[in-house]
Amino acid sequence: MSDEKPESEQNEEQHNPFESKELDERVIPVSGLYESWFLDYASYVILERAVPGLADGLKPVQRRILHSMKEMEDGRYNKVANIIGNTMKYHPHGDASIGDALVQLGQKDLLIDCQGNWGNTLTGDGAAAPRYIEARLSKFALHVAFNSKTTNWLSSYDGRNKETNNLPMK
Amino acid sequence: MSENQYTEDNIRSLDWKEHIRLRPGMYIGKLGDGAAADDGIYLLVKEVVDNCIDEFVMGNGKKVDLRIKDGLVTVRDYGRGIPLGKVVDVVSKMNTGGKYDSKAFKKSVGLNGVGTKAVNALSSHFSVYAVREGQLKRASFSRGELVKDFPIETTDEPNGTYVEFTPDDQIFKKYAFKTHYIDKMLWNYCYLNRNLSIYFNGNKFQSKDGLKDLLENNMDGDPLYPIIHLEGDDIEVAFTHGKTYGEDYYSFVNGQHTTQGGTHQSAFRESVSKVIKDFYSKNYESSDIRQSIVAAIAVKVIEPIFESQTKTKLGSQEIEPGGKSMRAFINDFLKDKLDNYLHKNPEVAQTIEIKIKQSEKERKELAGIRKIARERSKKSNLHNKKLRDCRVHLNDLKNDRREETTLFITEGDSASGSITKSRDVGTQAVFSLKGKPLNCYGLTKKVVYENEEFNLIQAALNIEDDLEDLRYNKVVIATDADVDGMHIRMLLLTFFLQFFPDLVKKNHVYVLQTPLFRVRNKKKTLYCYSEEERKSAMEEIGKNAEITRFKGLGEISPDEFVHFIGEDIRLEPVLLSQDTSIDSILSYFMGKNTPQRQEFIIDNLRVEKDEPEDLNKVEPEKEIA
Repeated sequence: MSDEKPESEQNEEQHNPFESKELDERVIPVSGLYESWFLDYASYVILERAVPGLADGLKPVQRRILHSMKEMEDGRYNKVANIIGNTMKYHPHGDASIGDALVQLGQKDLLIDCQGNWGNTLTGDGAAAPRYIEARLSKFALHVAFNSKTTNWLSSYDGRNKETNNLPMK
Repeated sequence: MSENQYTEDNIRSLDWKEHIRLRPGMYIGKLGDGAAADDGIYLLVKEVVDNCIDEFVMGNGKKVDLRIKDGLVTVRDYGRGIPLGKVVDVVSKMNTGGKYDSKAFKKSVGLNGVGTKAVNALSSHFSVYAVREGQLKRASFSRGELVKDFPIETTDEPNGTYVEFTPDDQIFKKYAFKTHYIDKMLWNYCYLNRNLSIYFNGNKFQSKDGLKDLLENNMDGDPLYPIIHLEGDDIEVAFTHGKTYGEDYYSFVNGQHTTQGGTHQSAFRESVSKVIKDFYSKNYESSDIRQSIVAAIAVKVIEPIFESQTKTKLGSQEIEPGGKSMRAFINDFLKDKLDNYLHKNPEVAQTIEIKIKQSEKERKELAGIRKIARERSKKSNLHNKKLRDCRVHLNDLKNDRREETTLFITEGDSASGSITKSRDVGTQAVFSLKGKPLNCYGLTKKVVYENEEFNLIQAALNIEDDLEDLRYNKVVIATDADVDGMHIRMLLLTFFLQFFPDLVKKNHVYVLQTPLFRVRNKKKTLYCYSEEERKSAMEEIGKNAEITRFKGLGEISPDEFVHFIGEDIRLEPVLLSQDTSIDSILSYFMGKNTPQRQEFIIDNLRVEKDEPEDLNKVEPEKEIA
């Protein structure tokens, strides 16, 4: 307590002391701001980033990578940098995060057939830059992950493309 | 010149009320309209309530009833009541009062026999009645002139005095009472006069534990140990240690809140650290002992001297004219009472010592890093690489644009480019963060020096020691309107609240609102800040609307950005509410992942509304267009 008056008093109604406790509705105190920002962020992280979906076990970024690789699939290797670029049609975030997610998928050596230095999880060596390395979907992935008849489609974040809701595995 | 003649006619002798009305400042300080706590109208209320308190102090009447409605103030106490024959004199004859001889009233702030008369003269309507043993005497005035002197009548009301008045709007232009200030004033009465109950518009104000209650109600967060509450003749002290940085004092002299401290407060600071130091008989630094202290002290002084007209800083060196010095008085008191208390409560003593050691450790840690950080910040003052500075700063006292100075803290270089290009170089500076700042909740101040980004923010704002030299009036957090932007806002605000809470308390921090959508056709461009605005803009523009969603500030080009940081800038102020403490907010949202928080997220999960159909409807049109 001191003579410094809380800011909120500025907005008080001037004439009737009985109604003067009402604040300007626009002004939200800091606890409200925190609550709102926190919920936005936490909900997003849980729903759209960190937690794998129940139906296919994939995080959104992984699902989008697989979908975009399927789209580009022509039997040959694709440059990882190109895959990242294509995935950005669906994933509205930085290129680095997509690249890292792709490398991690590749290092599992299951869904993605890799070419070049993809790093080593045991020694901790990183993969080469995306412009050097190449990838394509493995036969297993092509066989198991893509079933167009059972896939639900959504429009992507900017409404220009279609992306998958999930990838029902065989 | 004839106007300058100086004759006997020029000499005037003013009537008492004329004098008060001509020179109200001499009696009640400044006039004002009620927007500030020290405005005259609050002083009028105080003068009247003071009399009721004096009755209480004398042991008469534990209840005071105050009502304020539409400018009419009514005060009723249940004391002895003014002697009926003198009711008119007491409120309308200068230098009349019952308190000139009494010893008890020596220790009061005002005893000049002026207070109530000043209220009377400055009120368009003033009415008083006193009740004594079933008899009631009433009188009413207007601007100090007696309007009606009622004869004595009988009544069954209890004893006491009743005063009602309406401040004169010729003197107080367009005034309005703010309940907030009155609440505060009344609480101070209650803390200093225990068991007195004041009813203000029906709300009860009462304090059982005096200054202890004051600390409990005003502290931010929990005390480290139960509040130490000591009392003696003419002195009352309460203090504890909290968790916030800095020292916090509430000091009172004869019931007057001395917001700027004075001799009693500095004597207390000195003595409390001395007594504690002697108790442990270790050579602790006084500043370590006082780190995070929250204290209240009330003293009674005979004929106090104040350093300022407004009585907010005590200047008395002695407790009474020719008596003990203030320092000796407070020191003797604490030496006796506090020392005993610490001996009787070893647990509290232990807690205090741990706290002192912790402060000491922290200070020493800081000392080393500070040096390095200083050198670094010296460099960064010239080349603060994250900062694009502006020409004018808040601490350029002579510059009349200093109030406009703004610092934008942006998320990443992609956004800072646009702002830098479109800003007003005179008053708008840009600081760009790289990625997300550290979550500094629960960390010590050391991190401010160790973390380069925080150190540079601190250097850019120039708030290492205090806010005095703050370089920008507004600190605007300008992050993207996406979820990561929300996260960065939280992290940055945590940094400010944790280490520089005053920056937020003094209302310097804002959040920049940027538009979420741009809706345009060939002729017209509208920026929308919310979903509703977008819908109405789409209706306005009609079919050929092209909609762009701004996800990041980097998507807005510099020539567009001018609109968002120019005159029409939309800033959302960050305000602290009184009912939630900073600490509880931070620990809940930024601290450990508690089960309660998980529950909270689960219960309130915000699922993004999917509106693909809506977009689909618009998109094809756009493509055709």
